[in-house]
Amino acid sequence: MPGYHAKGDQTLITTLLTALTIGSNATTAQRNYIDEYILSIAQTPSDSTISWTIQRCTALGTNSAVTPAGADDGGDRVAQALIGKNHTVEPTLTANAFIIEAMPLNARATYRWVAGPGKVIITPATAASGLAFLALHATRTEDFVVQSAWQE
Amino acid sequence: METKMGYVSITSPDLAPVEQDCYLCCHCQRQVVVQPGSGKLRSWCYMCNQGTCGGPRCVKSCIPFEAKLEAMEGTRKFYKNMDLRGKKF
Repeated sequence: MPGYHAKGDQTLITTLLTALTIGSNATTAQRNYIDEYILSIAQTPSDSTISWTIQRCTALGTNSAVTPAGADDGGDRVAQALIGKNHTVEPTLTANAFIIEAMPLNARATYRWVAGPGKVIITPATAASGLAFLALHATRTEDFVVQSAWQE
Repeated sequence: METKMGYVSITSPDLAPVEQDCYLCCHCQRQVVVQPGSGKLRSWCYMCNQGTCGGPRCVKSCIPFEAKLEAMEGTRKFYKNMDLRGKKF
């Protein structure tokens, strides 16, 4: 399976906002096999706690489309997944379908998850279904950044 | 514990990088970070032969995530192949 990666960002506010969605194609639905993600904050972070959530979604909201890069430097076909960042309308989140739920993380820290062999996060082959990466903070207004890699 | 676990690494300017084993619940794919000695009780699914997140729904019954995926996709091949077509989930 060809691999791809993409990055998304969003400005922190007091409610959960989405920086990146990885969704199934609208016309030819496919599963996405997410094997890595990195959560971090941009600019010059100082100590405070960002709350991170990764949740499944059934609609991808309104966002800036991202063209994913191929892991094989153009050797594979163009990614089929719909990738969005900097959402202006939030995705439709699936209740209680969390990968991580409100995980506190120091703003100065970078959090990287790598899947075990074959133990990847799978999103269904249903149009516009996928995964959303969200964060919030009570006062901070910097950008938070999510990077993810997947196969399809 | 699982043999094919993933890991999380947390890097921070003040601390040495922290790496911890983690796995995905075989029933809901929630990410679980292994904390030896934490006393947190998860559970092991002997049908899937994998760890669960310890959530009530995931402990109570075995509904493999593959079956849930196929329900989302509207195919339900998993239970058809298992001849468990009447099972509700």
